[in-house]
Order: sequence, then C-alpha cells, then structure tokens
Amino acid sequence: MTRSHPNRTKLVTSTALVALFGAGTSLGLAGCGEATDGQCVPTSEFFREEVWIPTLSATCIGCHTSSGAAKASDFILQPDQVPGYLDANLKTLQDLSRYEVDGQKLLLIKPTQRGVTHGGGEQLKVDSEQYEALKELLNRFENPVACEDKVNVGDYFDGIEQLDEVATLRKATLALTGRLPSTQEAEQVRGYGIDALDPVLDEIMKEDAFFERLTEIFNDTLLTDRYINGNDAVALLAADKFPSYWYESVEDDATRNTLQYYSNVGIAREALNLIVHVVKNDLPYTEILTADYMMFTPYSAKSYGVDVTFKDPTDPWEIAPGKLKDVPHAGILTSTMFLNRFPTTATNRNRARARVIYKFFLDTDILKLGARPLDPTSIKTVNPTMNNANCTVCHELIDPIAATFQNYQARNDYTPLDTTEQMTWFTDMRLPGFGDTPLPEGDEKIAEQWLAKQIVADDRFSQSAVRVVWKGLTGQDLLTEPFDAAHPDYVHALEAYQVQDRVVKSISAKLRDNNYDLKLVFKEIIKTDYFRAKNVRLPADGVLDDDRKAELATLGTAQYMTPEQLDRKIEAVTGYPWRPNRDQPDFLTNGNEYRIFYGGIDSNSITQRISDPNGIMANIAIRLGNEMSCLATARDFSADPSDRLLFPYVERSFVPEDDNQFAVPAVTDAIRANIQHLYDHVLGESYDLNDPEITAAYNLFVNIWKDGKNGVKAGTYSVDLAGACRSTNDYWTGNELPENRKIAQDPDYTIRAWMGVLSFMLSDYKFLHE
Amino acid sequence: MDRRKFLSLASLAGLAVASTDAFGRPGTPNTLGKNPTPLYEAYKGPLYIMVNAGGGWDPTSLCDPKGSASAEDPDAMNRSYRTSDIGVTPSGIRYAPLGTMDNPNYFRDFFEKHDKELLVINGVDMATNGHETGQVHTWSGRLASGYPSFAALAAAVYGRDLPMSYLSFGGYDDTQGQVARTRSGNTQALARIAYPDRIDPNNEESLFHSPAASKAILDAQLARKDRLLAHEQLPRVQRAIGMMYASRTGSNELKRLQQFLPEMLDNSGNGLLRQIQVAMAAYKAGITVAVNLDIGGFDTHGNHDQNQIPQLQKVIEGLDFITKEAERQGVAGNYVVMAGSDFGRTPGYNDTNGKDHWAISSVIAMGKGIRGGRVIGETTERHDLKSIDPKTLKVSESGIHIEPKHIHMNLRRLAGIEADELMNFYPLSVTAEEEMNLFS
Repeated sequence: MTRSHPNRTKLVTSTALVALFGAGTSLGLAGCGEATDGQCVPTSEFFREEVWIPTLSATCIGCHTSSGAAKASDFILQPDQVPGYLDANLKTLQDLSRYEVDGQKLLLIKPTQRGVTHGGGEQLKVDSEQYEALKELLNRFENPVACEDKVNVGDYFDGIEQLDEVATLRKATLALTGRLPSTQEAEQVRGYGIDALDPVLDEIMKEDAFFERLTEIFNDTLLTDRYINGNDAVALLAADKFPSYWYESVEDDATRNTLQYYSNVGIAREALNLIVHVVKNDLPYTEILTADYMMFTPYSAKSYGVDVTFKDPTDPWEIAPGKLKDVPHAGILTSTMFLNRFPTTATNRNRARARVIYKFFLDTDILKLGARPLDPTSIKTVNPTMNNANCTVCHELIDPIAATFQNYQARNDYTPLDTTEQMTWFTDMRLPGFGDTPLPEGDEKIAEQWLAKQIVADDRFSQSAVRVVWKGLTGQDLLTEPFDAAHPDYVHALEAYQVQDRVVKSISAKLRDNNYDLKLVFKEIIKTDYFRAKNVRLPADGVLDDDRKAELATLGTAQYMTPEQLDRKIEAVTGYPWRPNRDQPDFLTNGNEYRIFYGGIDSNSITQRISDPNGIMANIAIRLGNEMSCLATARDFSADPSDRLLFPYVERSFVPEDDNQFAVPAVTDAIRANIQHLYDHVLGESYDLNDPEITAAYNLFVNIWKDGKNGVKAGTYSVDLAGACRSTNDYWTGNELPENRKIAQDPDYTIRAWMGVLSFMLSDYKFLHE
Repeated sequence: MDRRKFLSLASLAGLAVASTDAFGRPGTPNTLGKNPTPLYEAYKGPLYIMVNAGGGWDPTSLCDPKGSASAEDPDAMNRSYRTSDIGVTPSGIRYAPLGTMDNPNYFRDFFEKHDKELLVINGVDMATNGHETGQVHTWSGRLASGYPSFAALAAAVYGRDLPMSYLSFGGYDDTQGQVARTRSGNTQALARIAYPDRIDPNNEESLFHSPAASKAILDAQLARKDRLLAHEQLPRVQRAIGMMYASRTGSNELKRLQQFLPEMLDNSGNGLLRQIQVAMAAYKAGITVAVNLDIGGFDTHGNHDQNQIPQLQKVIEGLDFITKEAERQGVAGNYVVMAGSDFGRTPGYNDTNGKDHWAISSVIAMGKGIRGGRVIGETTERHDLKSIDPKTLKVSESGIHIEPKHIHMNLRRLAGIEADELMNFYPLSVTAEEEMNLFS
C-alpha cells in the first residue's frame, strides 16, 4: 500500500498546484489574504497547503496524536485517515491560538522553544517559511481574509459548456419530480440567467412527486424501505407496548389486508416521512434529528395506539407529528425503524449505530480508519478499545456516541438505563458524550436528544446533507481525497477533489446560513457547473490534451437513470406507464420484475445501485423502447392533435411520397417538424429543421415506411397492427374509444414507421441518461 | 504517450470498455433467430467463483480448528467440539468435527470427499476488524478501497464485451468502471429480457418491428452513437456512451442463458445453491467469466455456535454443489474457487456466548491450477499469527505474515492476468522477496 506523505507533499505543493491553476494563475500562496496574482486564498486552503502539508503532517503529527508521545497535551491532531481531518485540525489550531504567554502566541513560541519548553525540542526555526506560514495562519484567525465566502475553483471549469437555463430546468424538473417542465415554466427562465430557476424550482419542490423523489433519495441512505412489504414493519413494534396488529380483528380478508398494508407502510416510512415533513413545511433540516416528535399516518397511529389529529383520518398517505408516551424523541435517532435497520447487540453496545450516525449525519466514514493496517498480534492490552492505539483510533470517536445511546440497546425502544438491571453504563467503555464534550450529568434520560443537538451544531452535519442530495441529483458520490501519490492520476484526482470540495463546502455553509433550508441545497447543486456541465470546448487543434482529459475525468453527470427515475420519465414523455397492464405495478419499480435487474435496490441485501449498464440492463432498455413505442404511438394519434404529446404535427395519413414517388413538400416538412419536436420532447435536444440529426431520424422514418408500404402492397405485411400496438380503448378507464378515434389498422404503414422512430429515441443514450 | 497514461485515458473515455463495433458484427441485426449466432466467441476459460461469507466467519470452527479441552474448559476456543476430536484428512487437512442434525459428520464428509482438491490457507493477516474494510481487503487484495475485486479484474480482461461477464450476488464487487457488473433478480423475467424484440417472448413470430425496420433502427442507433461520440467531449460522458453501447453487444447471448438454466431453481433454503445454478448456466452459455457468490449471517456476536456453524455448513455445501453443478453442466473442474470472509472471530466467547471481530482469517481455494490436499500457514492455539518463510511456505520466525495481497498475486498469476496492462493501475505491493507460490 502506498501512502507516502513526503511524495504527496512534494506533489501537492509543486506539481499539483501548477497543474491545478496553471503556472500563471497559481494560488501563489502569499502570506496574506491575496496571492501574488491578486487571487484571494481562503484560510482553509491556506492552512492545507502552507501549514498542514509542510509542517503539521510532516513534523507535529509524529507526537501530537491521541496515541502519540504528546497525547497528554491539548494539541492533538487528527491523522489524514480521519474524514474531515483538515477542518478538525484547523479548528484545533484556532482554539489553541488563543493561548498566549507574555503576549506571545504559545503556538509560535513552543515549537521554536522561545521561553517555554517543548517536549519534542525545537521543531521550527524562527526564520523558516513554515514558521512564517504558521504565523500568518494565526493572523488570519484574528483578521479573516475577505474571500472566505468565495469558492476558488481556479480555471478548472474553463472551456466547459453548460446547459442553458431551459435545459437546466428540464434536467432539474426530471430529477426532482420525473416530469417535464411546462412551457410556462420554461419561459419563466429562458434568457433570465441561472438564478431565475430559483422561484420555479421552489414551486416544483412543492409537488407530491418531489417528496416521492426525496423519499427515494434518503432511503438510499437510511434503507428503511426494507420493511415496507407485508407486515415487516408492524412486526418490529414491541408487542407488549403497542396494539401493533389492531386490524387483525377485521373479518373481511381484503379489508384487513388493506389496513395491514396502510399500517405497515406508515410505520416503515416513519423516519423518511419525518424528512418529508421537515422539507415540506420549510422547517430547519436540523429537525430531522432534533424533532421531539415522530411522524404518523392515520393507520400507523393505530398500530402505535397514539392519538394524532389528521385532516382526513382515512387518508393512508397523510402524515402528522405525534408523540409516544414518555419517550423523549430525537428525530431519526430514536426512530424505531432506524434503530431496527441498524441494530446493536449486547457486545456491540451501540457502536455500529455510532458508526452509522457518523456516516449519515456527520459526513464521516469511520470505516476508513479501518483502512490503516492493524497488527492483530499487538493487541494484547487489557481492554484494548480503551488502551490500545490500534483500537482507540476508532473507539475514541464512536464509543462516546454509542454510550450516549444508552436508552436504546438491543430492544430498539426507549428503555431508560436506570430502569434496567444494568442501571449504569459500562465502566469498561468511554463515557457518554460527543467528541470531548461529556453528556451533562442529569441528562441521561434525554441523552439522545442531547446528542442530536451536538450533531446538528457540528459543521459536518450540513455537509452530510449536501452529500446525500448531491448523490440524489447527480447519481455520483462526492469525490474522496486521494492519498496514493504513486497512482498515475493522483495529481488530477487531487485537483478534482479539491475543486469539488470547495464547492460542496460553500453549499454547506449556505445551508447553515439559511436556517438549514434543505431546498436551498437542491437549488444550489442544480446551479453548479457539475450539474450543468454538458460538454467541453475543444482547443484550436481540435484535440483535448491528455492532462485536461484527466482533469475533467469526473465532470459531467452522465447518470444512468435509476429504475425509479426512468419509470417516471417514461410516463412523462409518452403519457403512459410501462407496466404489464393497467392494474399492475410498473415493471421498473416492481422488485419481482425489472427493478433489481435494472440496477435498483431492495434496501435489504442489495443496497448499492448499479450505475454502469450491463447486458441485461441494455436489453431492458431496448424492450422498453419497443413496448412503449408500441403502446403509445397509435394511442397518441387517437387523440386530438392539440392533446398529443408525441405527434402533434402529423397525421397517420401523412406519407412522405405520393403514389408516383414524388416527395410531398408540405408533408415532409410536417414530418421533419414532428421529428424536431420528438428530439426536444424525448431527448431534450434542440435542432434546426435541416440539422443532420433531424435528417437521420427522417431517413429512418422513410426507410421503414418505404419497406412497409411495399410489404403491405405485396401482402407480406399485414395492414393490421399487432394487438398490443392498437388504440381501441382508453388506457386508464378501459372504455372503448369512439369509432373515429380507434386505430387498429395501419394501411399506410405510418404508425409503424413512427413506432420505429420512437423506439430509436426511447432507447437512446440521452433518454436513458440525465 | 506513456502506456499507463494511455490506458487510463482510454478507460476514462470509454474506449477500454466499448467495443469498436458496439452492436456486434456489421450487418448483424439485433433481432431474433431460432439459433442466434453469438456475436462474440463464448468464454471458455475457467469460471472464477468467489464465495463471500459475509460478516466474518470463524476459521477455528472450520479449517483452522481449535476446540476445547473439556466441557468445563474455561478457555475453550470452541465449546462445540473437543480438541481431541479434530479430524484430519488423508492429505493432512485438519477440520472441525461438526455437522448438522441430519448428518453429524457433515464437515468430515466434505473435507474427506474433496481432500485432494482443497487448498487451505490459514493465518491470513487481515489487518482490520472493520467489516467493509475486511471485505475490500479479502476480495481486492488491498486494505484501502479503490481497487476492483479480483473477479472484476478477471472479467474485465477476459470478457468486457460479454453481457454478464461479472455476475454478482453480493459482497465486494467494486469494478472501478472496468467492466459491467450484473446482479441477478427474478430469473423468470429473463425470458422477456432475453427477447426484447418479441411482443411474446415465447413466440418468435411475434415482433414489435419488422426485420427490416429493426435493421433500420439498429443502423440509426449505430450512426447516432458515432455522432454522439464525435460531439460529446467530456471524458465521463464519452465513457457513459461507450458503456451503454458496449452493454448492448451481447444482447443475443442472453438467449443462450435461457437454454442452460434449470427449469426449477433450488429452493432448499441455502441461497448459495441457487446462485451457483445461475452462475453455472451463465458460464455454460459462455457469457460469464467471474461470479461473486454471497451468503451472510456470520457476524455472530451472540450465540456463536448456534448461528455460525449452520452458516459454515451452507458454505461447504455450496463448495460441494459447485463441483456437482459443474459436472451436471458438463464443465467439471473448469473453475477456480476461493472462499473467504471479512476476518475471523475472537478466541473464545464473550458474555453472550458470541465471538467478536478478530483480524486473522483463512481462505479455502480449489479448482483448475490449484494443487489441493494442502494446508499453508499456521496459527497458535489462541489463533494468533505465525510467520512463514515465503519460499518454503513453512513456519519461520524470520518469515512474514500471509496477507491477502499475496493470495491475490497468486490469483492473478493463475488467471493469467498478472501481466495485463490493466494491472498497472492496480499494483499489488509484493516484493520479490515476499512472493509466495501458493497454488501450485
């Protein structure tokens, strides 16, 4: 394993920065807020490049860690294996910068051994660059530079072509609700600049479809939909506390099953419904953890035996807050579903839960600490989780949180510790707390509520929110900091990480500054270069050089849509869902049909989505193109032109050539106009009528039509449409259509030619990706 | 241009994953025929089968047996059997004398039946007690994340264009974008998926489009791909376009999978058996190079014996079933199997009769090119590591610990992918001095 700091330091401070910002626009980290080129350098960047890399990570960290020779000092650094180590170490320095001796900063005189003793001897020379940089950092703490709020992305995005306002709105509307924007919405933003999207997106984010998508996005993290089937969620309630199976007394089987379904979904979705409630009501996102209530539906409330007021007590999807008796709720932290989904055992003692809390709500992957080599033969210490450095690196982080969860152990429901046989927390574990802050004495019964307040006060909480939404909107995980300096793409990967990290941190800060309005995170991400990047302009020689390609390797969403997203898009574009028949679930969302095959999750054993298509996914996409073009083409023609989604500019009698094989200009123009419409409507691409792209699809139409016309004439093709492709009844009601709207035959072969064009588009890259 | 750089960029641009002819041979319509001609030569090398025992198995209850001195032994490594009852195969493989209610000698029967095939590697230094990291380490050969699993690498080298080159039922299956990964779902739906051009998948006359129309659509799609690749310059987008069109290259081969799937899949309760049936059928069809089999239930912090032993039994039942199913499909012996886990479990029991995490594990391997009837590596009576001489493979105080990277170096060599250019991106830091010849 390569984890070479010396190499890395060298690269980052020389090659990487030159590559990152170009020789002429280098950060040029001068000892002030402005670099030599006039570019302002935020303190976080200054700290990383000028203090952390050359000094702290190269020298100080040898002793100043929780297990190092200076572990008893107040100056404890987090190693770079710890996620968020830079922010944590910057904060440590900022805190310690207040210490002075005889008016001199302790942080400056200690390592230089001027007037005070340093256990590690002299580590810095007063006239060294490292010393000056440290001094400058301390100065910045007292005199913040003017650009702290600016995102310094250098020239990373130079040459990147972005989606315009209308195209961004289309992509965003599909991502948020699965529908296409209306003409009115498009006109609200067209030509008004990217910020014009804000009010439109605000309205879009009031729609039910948005909250459905929000639920999906957060379920990818919480995975509580694992319990959505059968009575899986109901069965998790403590039978001695709640009337879980209240519906069992209903005699009618169908009614009882319906009531069970409603109750179970309401219970299973409890944690996700809290997020929906918070966002829908514009409450601070912090409330997902600090809420002193939980969410009920009319039916889940019956299973909990809780009296909650609903506008419509028969609406299974209405959600309202309520409380369990004598339970100090702490939002998701005390959610029964969350606790069951991430359970603990008598020996695990909530440690797994603590890990999950770090990962979900503190943007910290504790398991990354496990990536450090651990020598099993060295663990001979008594109580190693307290005393052995191999173990304490993780346990000093997770054990205090685990202990704070003391009222929820293996039973998964609130049981105050002092009412159990155990009475007090384990003495061979760290005490309850959060970081260095202990749980205040007397707060034990509300320990989880106290913990929630600590978590949301931590900057990492807001960053965790950005992480979840980022993945939901782009399909991509945030980049992780590369460490392997020997990797051929290390420098470019580091650059991509640093730029993205700055953007993410700025959005996190905005979230904090705007009362934790999560909708703002959606809007901000949508407006980033990452969401909007569609192409890169080629240089004069027409070739993107290798370095630039490597720099841009992770840019551009190119997201292969999830089955749920594609499912909604199909209906939005064609007007019909993709399902076996009207009364059955959609193919792409049904776990027994294509959801798993198409890379989806079951929230149980399959919890990671597949983002690169395989052969099976490819065939599903081809089948969807064929089936939906079959279903939708004739049906669209049955409608009045003004009501058509797909073919508003043509009629089925429009054939491109007359009987003498002469082109009919008016008709060919109409066909081209409709193809132009299909490119825009199905693929989100705008072309002039004479663009080669329009011509390509036109030729496809004509080729199929000519072959079909000849085939019908020769009797080799039937005039009848296949049964599945006919339009004889209303899809939604099943009612027979009036005779003049029925389409069962295709004597001119135009329906089938348009089916071919629609198949071509529905299986296209641009339809399957966003 | 530097070759490594070229490969990197090619990969980023989708060139490494996209076929030059994304839909197969020119002129071959993506339509149906009674006997579809494979677009690419079926894969005929060995099937690489990785068996993941998720949660951290207990080698001391399997292939690195440590028992108890008596029923009252306060330091019992395992209360389920006595040290004096530990079994030994004719080749010298020691095993835990455990079994099921139906067959108390189940473990013995397995180890004796496959004595000559099995290679046991004990005392593997996992260097972690974290589940996720342990899985990464076991299946990629590196402790830190960022490397594809070995199965993904083999599939990438030998079957990038195959429709189900890398079939995964779970466990660590990261591909780093080098090859498409397939998950299995409801196999009944496969018929519709295998025949996307048929309205009724069972009726070859029931087509959505005429053959001529299908051909025209296919040609239009191919031309569209070229236009997209010429226009879209972002490497990530180019890669995505390449991946999508490359994934369509093997659509016809999916039909072959239908031919080899059993009419009824196993329903015995051991999920591994069904996974093996699907994997073997896909392999027989020539469309799969590597597979992740996955079984969980090994994280036995409580009631270890009751919970761990039945799962271990399922693993060895699965290993036995691989040999049977391969024989049934006519591909006997044409596989390479490795079974492993996140890590091992602590010596002795905790307060709830469970065992916690222990960073020492074992690996069981068998198959083509692996000399069986052997045990490499050793641990102490308390399941601590012993070092071995990397050349003699004997215990040596001046030796080194066996790590997953050593095993993966051997796997790569066995698979013949060690020198492939792709490995330049995922080097294993094994020096010449510490190289071990584990398999032959």
